[in-house]
Amino acid sequence: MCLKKAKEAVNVIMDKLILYLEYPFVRYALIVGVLIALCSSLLGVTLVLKRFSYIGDGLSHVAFGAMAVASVLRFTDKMILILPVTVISAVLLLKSGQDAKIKGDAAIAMISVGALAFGYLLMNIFSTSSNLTGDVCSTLFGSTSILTLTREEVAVCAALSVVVVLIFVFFYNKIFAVTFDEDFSKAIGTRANVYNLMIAVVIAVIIVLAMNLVGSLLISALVIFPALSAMRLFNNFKAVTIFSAVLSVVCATTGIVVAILAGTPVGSTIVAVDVVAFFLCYAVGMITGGASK
Amino acid sequence: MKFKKTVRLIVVLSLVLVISACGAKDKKQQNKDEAVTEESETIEDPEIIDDPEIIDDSDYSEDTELQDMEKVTTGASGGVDVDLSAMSSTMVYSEVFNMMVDPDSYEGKTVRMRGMYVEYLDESTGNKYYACVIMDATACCSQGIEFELTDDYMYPDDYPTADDEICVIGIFETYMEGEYKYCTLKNAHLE
Repeated sequence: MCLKKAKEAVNVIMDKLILYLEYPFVRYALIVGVLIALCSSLLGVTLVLKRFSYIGDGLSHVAFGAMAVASVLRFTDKMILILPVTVISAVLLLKSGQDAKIKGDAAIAMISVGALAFGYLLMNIFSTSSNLTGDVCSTLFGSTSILTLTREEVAVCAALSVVVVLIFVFFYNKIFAVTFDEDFSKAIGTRANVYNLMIAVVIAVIIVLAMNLVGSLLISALVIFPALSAMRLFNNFKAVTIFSAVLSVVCATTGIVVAILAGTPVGSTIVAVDVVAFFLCYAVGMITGGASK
Repeated sequence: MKFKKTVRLIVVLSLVLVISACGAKDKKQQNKDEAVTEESETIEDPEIIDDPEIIDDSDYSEDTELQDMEKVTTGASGGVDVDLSAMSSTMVYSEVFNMMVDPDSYEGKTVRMRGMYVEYLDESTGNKYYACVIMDATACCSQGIEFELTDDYMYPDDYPTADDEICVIGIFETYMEGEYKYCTLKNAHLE
């Protein structure tokens, strides 16, 4: 009896899911969600190992500030401003990290809150929208922006994601070297500064893309959780990167599906799934010996 | 040694999956039990689009989401082309957003929507507009569709009161007012 009811319930959910998948915006959301999750997890491992876990948060706030300026200036395509500003900020933060008078974490905190405050201030003073609160809330928490993408936005996201993955694959060895021992890689002739610059640009691109998926405030979760989860189970760079990518894609897909079925906010649902996956990996790692074996 | 650890890892992962599956099954059974007693429908209105102040935080959002979750959904039915009442609030919000962005694709289609009833009086023209709105999952944005009830409905006796939950069916059409294009459900009726 119970089994029959359970089967019927599963059928109901599956029917609902199939119905939803007929909508193009749901398919777009799944495509973009998977691509962004894949990209963010690839670089996430490098960021965590370089002790730059919080850079995603800082850069997303910069992107928010840039978006505010673009809105005030009534740019049709806000990406024209958001992407360059975020890239420049990423370069400044990552490249000058160790030599600057204001050190890494302080610089990130300063830029992060400064851009956020400046952006919100601008939007308030020069508001061009009838729904300022909604715009800000949606940008910060990514409530449904992933479900309102156009075909062109999906194409841009797909193209950028392919570029990010290709860069990571082609420069995998260099990124590996720069991540673990920058001084050593410099000593053997690797142009570490160039690769740091490349990592900064790629990170900025990922942050701008991920704003659509989870919103500004939750981007860090996409970057760090898959990497940290993978590190509970594996202890070599390649295995951590691969597992991190797979886990990130699975969590993003699960999060989007749960969000559309249950009517929950997409961004926070994805992050919640990431958090659950982290604790599962943590528990499995504890039991099996995980990364410490 | 390494092989043993791999086997241990697989066993633990399998156990985790089995435990998760059991939990999911219980939840689904519960949903199914609740679904039997549920039934609902809805409509929307566009004039109020993106205006969070029009909507106050009543029990509406939670109730609607619960009903959406519990409802048996098999797609549009009864001559309805776009059945928004059968969707979760996240889906409704997104679909209405798309209807506003690309109204031509929906022109002439019969739409059913469930949401909150809102009235708006344009003091400059004296025109009154009626809308059905729904909030997004973070409750900071709202989307809605304006509707025009048939002449069978007399105002105010046959109209709902503000903030009532309503279900409207009507034919999606667009019209120009000044330089702006608006969307509305013509020949609408309440369920």
